[in-house]
Amino acid sequence: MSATHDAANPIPPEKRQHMLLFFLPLRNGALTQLAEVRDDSGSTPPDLRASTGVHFAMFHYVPEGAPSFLPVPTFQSAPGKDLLVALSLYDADFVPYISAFTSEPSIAKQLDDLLMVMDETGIVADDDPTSAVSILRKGGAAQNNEQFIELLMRYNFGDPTLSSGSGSSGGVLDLIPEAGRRYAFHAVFPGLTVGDVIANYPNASKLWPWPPVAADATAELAAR
Amino acid sequence: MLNLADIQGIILRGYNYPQVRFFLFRIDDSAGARELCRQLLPGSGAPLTLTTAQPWQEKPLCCLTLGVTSRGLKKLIGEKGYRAFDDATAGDFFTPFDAGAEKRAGLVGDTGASAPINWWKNGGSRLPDPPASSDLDLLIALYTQNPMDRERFSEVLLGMIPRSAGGRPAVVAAFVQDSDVLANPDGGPSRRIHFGYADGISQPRLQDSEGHDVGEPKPGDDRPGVPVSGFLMNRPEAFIHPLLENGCYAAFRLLYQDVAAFNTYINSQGIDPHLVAAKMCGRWFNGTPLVTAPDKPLENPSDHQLESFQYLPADAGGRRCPFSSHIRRTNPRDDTFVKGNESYPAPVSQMRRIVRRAGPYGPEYSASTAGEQRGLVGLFLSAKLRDQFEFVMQTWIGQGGFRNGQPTEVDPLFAPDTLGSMHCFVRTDGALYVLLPGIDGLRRIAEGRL
Repeated sequence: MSATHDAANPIPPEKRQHMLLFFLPLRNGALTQLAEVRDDSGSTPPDLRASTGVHFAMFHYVPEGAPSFLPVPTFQSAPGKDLLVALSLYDADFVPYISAFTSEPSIAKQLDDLLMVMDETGIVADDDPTSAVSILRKGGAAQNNEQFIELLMRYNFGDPTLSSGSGSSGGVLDLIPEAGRRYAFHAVFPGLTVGDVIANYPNASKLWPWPPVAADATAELAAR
Repeated sequence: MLNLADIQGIILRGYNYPQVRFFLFRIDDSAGARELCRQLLPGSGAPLTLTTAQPWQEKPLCCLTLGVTSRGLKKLIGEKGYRAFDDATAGDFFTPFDAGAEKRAGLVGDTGASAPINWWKNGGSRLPDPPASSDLDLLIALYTQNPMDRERFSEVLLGMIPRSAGGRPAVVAAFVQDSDVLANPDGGPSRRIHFGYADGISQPRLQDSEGHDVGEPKPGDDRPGVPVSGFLMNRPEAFIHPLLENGCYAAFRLLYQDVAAFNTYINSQGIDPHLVAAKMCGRWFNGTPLVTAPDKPLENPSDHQLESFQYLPADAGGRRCPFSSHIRRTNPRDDTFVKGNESYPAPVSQMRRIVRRAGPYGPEYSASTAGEQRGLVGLFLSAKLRDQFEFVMQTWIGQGGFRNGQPTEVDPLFAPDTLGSMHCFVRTDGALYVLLPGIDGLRRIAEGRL
């Protein structure tokens, strides 16, 4: 748990952190459609934090032709399509990370809703087993896990083989990617997984309860 | 309501016959192979037919199970039929089977000495030339009550194989492996495997088995049930071609067990070797679970004592039964701190269960037989190979990070040699993914009717 890692004692694969950065092509007006099918049942989703290993997540919706928020070009939708950008940091391998979502029925349902608003026109044929159309026709993400993962990887700028424990920079923040890499990637706490935090951090269940609430951690922090 | 007449019996009940013979066939003539399938249908009038899950009035002299690989299915139903099968089946019920055990070997830890390049070279093939690859099409398992019946019914089975006008058999046995129970000191059959552990304990208890004998809980069995959908594919719950209705997938595994290395290891740790072995497995040699009897095994434990226990809260720290022990890795039960075993609403472990229909092969280990091949052979059943068999092998047995917040470690008995720090005591010498079709599914195959 507190081992010091170096070249002779690398961070094991299941403890490494990775980045995903999806650029998902959506139909025009998809945000409205997604809002209509959003689960408002009030039911508590299961606590999958340790299995998914998600440290944080960001979603950014870009309607067709929307200008950049910054004075430089940023995320751009394709002509005739909207765009959903998703950014996250997750633990361990990509496959179990995604499978933890597709294995849970309520989340798989939401993933199917996302597939329904995807627009892969001109990118992949509908009869390709990894297309959104084909996955939906064959029972959705819950029954087509590997095909769903292939679909996601089609739009993932993130490199699942580039992890917080695989760099050669020796902890130095280097802006220049290693040869053959799309980007340089660094983590402040390489090897510290979400599961480790939940299991080992004192009073983790009070500080970060599930389901999440607007917790007042003042008393907890003052006691430290 | 389960249609027991449409389900191969081995899926719902262990036959517990002392002698088994696994035939692995290569199809040389598709029409002849389809005719063999037709003969094997219950009610065909042939001298041997498949055993269904219908209750027995009395135990038959012989039981029969049939499995087909994706390669074999292509030969039986043709490329066009196979594409139609693919088109009407969700990826989870098609992709692992279609790829086969050889291509999926890396996922389940069949690497290094266990890699496919080394398969079928060791083991009990009774044929002069073992297959050069995993290009195998049909599996037929024959279960008998004594060695003589095994020979007798083998002859009957082989005699049923159709032949061409030139006398060539439609299917050819490419690998044959016998399995024989080990004997107790009194000569009677034991449930031991070669390492010395009692086996066959705590098979999944199926929910909704509707009175079928094997699915009913024994008195005091308070384990959570496993949905039947974990072992039988049925529409509309599963998006599958009708060919898969009431069918199940199985991983056929031929595993070598290095008893000499195992004995050396447990006797060289400076403590009671029985305790070392128990910590590795999670059970004492007689099957007593460590979590309920951490200091010594129970004498003559009941089925309830062997099977009905939980890990929380008594052993949340893994002091009785180590987190890395084999039975904790393969079925973490209520331990929802295990990665991939979250509770919603029940621990997911029940959805990961595998039915084991395997037994020992090879002679009992002794000084005079030390150099001979021995191990475990049989079928590991699941409706979704990826979510059940492959998940357990890959994520819970072969990878670290098994339990949240704990140091990394792997299963000391079954983890592949490229991952564990300990000696590898088990080596995969052959593997296949096969479909155990329902009876109507086999009828469709036999008739070429999709």
